[in-house]
Amino acid sequence: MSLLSPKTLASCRDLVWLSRHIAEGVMLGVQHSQRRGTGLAFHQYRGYQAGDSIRHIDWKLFARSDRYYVRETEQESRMHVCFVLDTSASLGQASFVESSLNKLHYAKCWIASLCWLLNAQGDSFSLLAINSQQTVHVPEGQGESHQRQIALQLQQLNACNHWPDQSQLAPLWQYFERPCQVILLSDFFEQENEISNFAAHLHAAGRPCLPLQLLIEAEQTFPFGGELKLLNPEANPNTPAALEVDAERQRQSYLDAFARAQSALKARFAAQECILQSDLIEQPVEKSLRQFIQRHGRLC
Amino acid sequence: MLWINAFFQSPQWLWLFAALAIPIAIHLLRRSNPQQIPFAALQWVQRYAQSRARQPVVDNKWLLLLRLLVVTLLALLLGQPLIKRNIYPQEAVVLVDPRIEAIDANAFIHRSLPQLAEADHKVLWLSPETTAVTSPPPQNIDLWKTLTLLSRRADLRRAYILLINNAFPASHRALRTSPHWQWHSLDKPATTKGPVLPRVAVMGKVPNWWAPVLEDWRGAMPELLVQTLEQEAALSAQETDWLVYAGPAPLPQTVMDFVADGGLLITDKSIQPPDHLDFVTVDQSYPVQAAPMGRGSWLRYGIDWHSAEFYQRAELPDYLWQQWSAQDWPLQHRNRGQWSGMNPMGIPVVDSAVGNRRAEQLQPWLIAALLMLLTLERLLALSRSPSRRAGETRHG
Repeated sequence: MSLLSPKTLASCRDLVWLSRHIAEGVMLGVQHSQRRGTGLAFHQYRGYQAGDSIRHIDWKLFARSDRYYVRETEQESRMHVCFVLDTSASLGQASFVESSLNKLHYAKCWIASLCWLLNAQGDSFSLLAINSQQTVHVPEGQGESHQRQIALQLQQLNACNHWPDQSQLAPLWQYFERPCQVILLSDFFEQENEISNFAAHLHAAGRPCLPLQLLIEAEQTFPFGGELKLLNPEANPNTPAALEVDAERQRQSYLDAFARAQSALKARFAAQECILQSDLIEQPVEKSLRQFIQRHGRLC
Repeated sequence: MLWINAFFQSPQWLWLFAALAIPIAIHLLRRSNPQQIPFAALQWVQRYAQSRARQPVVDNKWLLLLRLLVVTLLALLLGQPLIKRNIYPQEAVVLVDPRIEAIDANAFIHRSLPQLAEADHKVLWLSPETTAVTSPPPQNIDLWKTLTLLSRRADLRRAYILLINNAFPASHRALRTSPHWQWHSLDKPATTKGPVLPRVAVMGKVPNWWAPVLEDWRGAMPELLVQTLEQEAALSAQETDWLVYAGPAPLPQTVMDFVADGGLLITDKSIQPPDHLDFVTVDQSYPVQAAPMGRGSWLRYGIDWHSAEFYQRAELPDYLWQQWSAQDWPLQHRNRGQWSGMNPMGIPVVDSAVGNRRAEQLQPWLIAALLMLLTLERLLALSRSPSRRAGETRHG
């Protein structure tokens, strides 16, 4: 099975299908045990909701009541994984290789695919997408329908505004009251370590945080030439909205500064016994997922 | 290639040098409007105190230099004729009247045109073929036609014209010359002749206005001869040009013979013409008619010239002189203009009307250099394009 190219990734808009395709690629060769789909013990019937698979509809009950009911079974969850996705404007940064692919789209595919994998092993998962303007939360759940709900929510997300400040973060802590494994997706382009501080707080509260940094290749190589006007999608008092640069003259200083910032960031996460994984969105999602799963063996 | 030369190679293309402003303008415009790229990692890009758009530093110096060179080369290529003319002045040419001996012509050039003797020059016969003066002189050259023909030749625009000093009667058709020609004559000019005057004779009882008119004429032309003929036998066309006849009708045979021999007869209405004569009205405002008779003509007034109606006019002498001399064709022929080498005539042919500019071959090395520069410019421009640089990152 060939890996997905950035162009295919960018052009496919059906996140459910895409994530399933990616996840099956990752799971290739893994033995599917009886844990596929539903559990063993009957729990309850509930009304059909958008996103539920029609395979879970109890057709006998439908014949009797003329209504759609979904049979829910009890399954013991081993783990709750909470995806925290940074949806600030900088996540809208497009790749210079494939201009229709941006970091947010890559993150959506990544989360949806991992949800498939988690679903396959019966884990529960939730989603928290945050920026300074909007917070999207999909509570903990499991099963295929939950994965579909998360995929639908992910599809509606847009990159805008900033990372939320302290006052905006305060009401979010309620989502972490139950023990969970947090996966934090961001570009970690921070002004005053606000994102890594958030991770540190979670770590201090006993909610281990696994960070995934999304970058584009141009941020690592600065391949520009000539005179350019660089526009900052996330303008703030410290960084200007636009900057005219002589790319060749400033390449080296940028590369040095960027490398320093990256090593500092890695050092901060290393201090919390978390390994920061930095991935280029030009790489296939499968590769990143495999590496992430291998690195954090306790996940899958 | 010839049509390319004729169409493209023209001094007007030197205006192309003004196109040098285009690459400079493009360069400055692009400097003030750099390409805009969204870049999230802007916080690690250093911020310089001075905006580069205000710095007097020229970016891409080599590219700008190449573009300026391309435009200059193109202008040079297309404007070659003018440059060549300025760099290499045309060879001096002396056109010699074929009636002059070649030895005399060379002697004249050495004596009167020493600046030519030092420089390289050609001596040609003044003929349509402009053969060299070493060849036998062409015979029976129509000078007027030849000069008109040569005035349109681009290579002879600044020629020296050496004429024998005979005066040439002006032609009724316009002579055309080049305004840059330098005229020379082999001999000293002769004294110019005054106008030829008619010889006037009067016969019969002249009207009263005749004496004052004659006096007026003599005031302006002292040499005017007027004789009064008593005998008809003394009249002859060789001796007399105009005959004012106021004698009795009908016309004597000697007067008829005089007109037939080429004289001009002037009468009033008292003389009845023969039936076969075909009179034409000369002046609508004045009842005067004329008819050809043999080689001469008869000017006949339709009124009595003794009457006040005839002579009560303010400008009678001038009027009569104009009327009579206008009718005398041989006199007009003798009085036509003269021109010579010292007194050239003719309508100048302006430079812009001269065709057949000297065709220059397009220089192959200039074309090759232009193509090479264009290729270099494209290579450099494409390799420095920011978008191209941004897209150079590898896939996967």
